Amino acid sequence: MQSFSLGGHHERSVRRHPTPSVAGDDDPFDPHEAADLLATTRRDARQSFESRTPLICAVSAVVVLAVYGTLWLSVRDQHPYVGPSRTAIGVAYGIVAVAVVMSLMARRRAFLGVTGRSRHEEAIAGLAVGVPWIAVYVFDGALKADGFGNAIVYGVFDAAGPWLVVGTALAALAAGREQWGGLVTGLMIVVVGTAAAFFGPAGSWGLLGVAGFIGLVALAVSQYVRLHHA
Amino acid sequence: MNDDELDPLIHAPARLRIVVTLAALREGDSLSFPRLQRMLDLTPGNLITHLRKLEGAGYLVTQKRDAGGTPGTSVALSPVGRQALDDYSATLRGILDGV
Repeated sequence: MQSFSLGGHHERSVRRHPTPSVAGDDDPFDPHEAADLLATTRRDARQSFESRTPLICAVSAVVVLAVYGTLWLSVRDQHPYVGPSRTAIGVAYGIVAVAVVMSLMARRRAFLGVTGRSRHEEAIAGLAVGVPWIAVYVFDGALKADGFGNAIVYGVFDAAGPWLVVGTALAALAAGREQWGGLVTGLMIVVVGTAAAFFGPAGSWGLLGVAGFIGLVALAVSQYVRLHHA
Repeated sequence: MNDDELDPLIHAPARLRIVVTLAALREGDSLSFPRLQRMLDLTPGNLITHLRKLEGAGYLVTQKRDAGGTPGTSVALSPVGRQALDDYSATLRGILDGV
């Protein structure tokens, strides 16, 4: 353990502002006030350190519904199935890009000034989820080159594949940390992704959009309750 | 139970806020001095005074860091500090339940 002293910038800042007396330090502090202050401070701190805010979860719900819904709208009347239109894919990528930027900003705000295990675990989780997700779309190219039809390559596999790999990665990460809620969530994502494959290439886009929306709204509500009423 | 049983190091508004804020971090994490100061809206001198008291009791661990070439200090609650806050919370609940 080191004795407390600040680095150069802060030492200078302290010299500019002479240390005031510690107001209220020795004043009587009512237990009721202490309990209120403890609860308020705990709630504020948890909200400040949380990167998955209820707002981000709610926005993600709308994003999933918008992306999968846009793709579903572009394929629902196709006979035979050829896959989402270029316009629909462009709109989907645009929505995802905006969502990713928002999510990164929220993460940056939450982790500003925080060092240690959480940052490392976030980076590891990002790799564990991100790499398999990208691999799904690379794998698409191999499937197409091997002669698989559009219904598989641009339908069932494109829609459900991310759910299978992301759900598996989340479940594995949660199991390693003994986070049973996360494990159940990851497994549910895998189950829903698998079930959607039985609804055909167009149906899987629609079903997964609705399922993702419901799941993320539920997450937003649970995060709100946890952060505001815990 | 009465107020005298509350840990005097924590039972002060500014120090209670410091300890509770740091307890909201996950174990193994620490917080930079500037972010802690902004969150608590304390002057640097006031914050340092309280941090020194808490560090003297073994409730805090401080680390020098050099993030992006900018030297600074980050602060974390020690296991002793977490236990002290748990004990404080339990004592506070006991006092309030007995009222």
